[in-house]
Amino acid sequence: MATNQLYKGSLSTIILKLLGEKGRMYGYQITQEVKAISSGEYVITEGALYPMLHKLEAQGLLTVEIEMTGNRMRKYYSITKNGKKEVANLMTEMESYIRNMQSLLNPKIELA
Amino acid sequence: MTERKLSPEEIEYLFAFVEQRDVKYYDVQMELVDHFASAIEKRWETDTKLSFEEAFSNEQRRFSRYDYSEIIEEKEEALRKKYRKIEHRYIIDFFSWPKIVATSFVTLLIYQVFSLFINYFRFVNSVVLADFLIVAFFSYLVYPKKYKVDLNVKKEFLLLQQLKSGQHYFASAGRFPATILMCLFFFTKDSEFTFIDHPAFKVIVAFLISLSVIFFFATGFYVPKRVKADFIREFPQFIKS
Repeated sequence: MATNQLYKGSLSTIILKLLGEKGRMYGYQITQEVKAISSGEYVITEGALYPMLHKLEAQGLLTVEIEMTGNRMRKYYSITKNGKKEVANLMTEMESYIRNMQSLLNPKIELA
Repeated sequence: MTERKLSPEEIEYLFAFVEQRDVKYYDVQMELVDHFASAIEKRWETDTKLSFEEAFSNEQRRFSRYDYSEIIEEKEEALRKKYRKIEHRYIIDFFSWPKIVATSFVTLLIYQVFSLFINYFRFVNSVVLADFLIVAFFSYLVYPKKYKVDLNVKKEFLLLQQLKSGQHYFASAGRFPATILMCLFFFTKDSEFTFIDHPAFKVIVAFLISLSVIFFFATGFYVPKRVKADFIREFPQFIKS
């Protein structure tokens, strides 16, 4: 498993992008989906996931629905219109960050 | 083969467990219980013979004591921020078209009321007394009744906690006009200065009072109405019919 440190700052982007693509999801499902997509490389800790979900909900980027599933209640998160706008901005930022990091860490050798 | 699911007793056990970890609000407990239950059921998909105790023991180890308090603190902070944002949007609305007309009208009306008073001392006394009576009436008699949510279960909800803390916030917001006047009176009591003799001061004080009236409506009526509506939408099954 890779160090989770590098992923930490991108947790909100990961959550918003995932919900934008997959529709509504609940907490545990998000952790499993991220684990599967990253082939087990990134495991979201619950102590980081729920505070972030609540923060995004308070910012109006996510909305919630509570439903009964079997004999317990489940809270589903979906992305809002503002959340979709935010994820587009975050993705642009992220792409530019990745480009810059690639240039910084792997500079092309220029021929004289 | 049917999938193995958690029994009502096992769900109850999970609720008791998170409660022991100082998670006393049902709206937070519910999400953590579903998380543990989903994780346990996932493990049962590959290992049907695994006991509930063993499966749960593996899952709960992923949470530290600190994680529980962090989740509650962040949830409290998130709710506070959410409703403060709604409150600010409501207040700002009174300073944009068309509501700014009403704000200006109220400011002008307060300004005119100031002009009715010749005796400064009597004026300050009347406003302070009226303000305290109005605030006491709304915050201690109207608010608790209007925003009371009758539950059919004995549970505590973080969302309803917002209504309780809102009552104190509302009372402080409502006392703002009296506070302004008392401060003005206190700082000028030894001088000849009385703000009702200066039009510019009268406008400023009238504006501050109309701002606090808007604040009073936001904290005492608009936001609690939204909190109650959100609770009814999220947890209709817990409302006493």
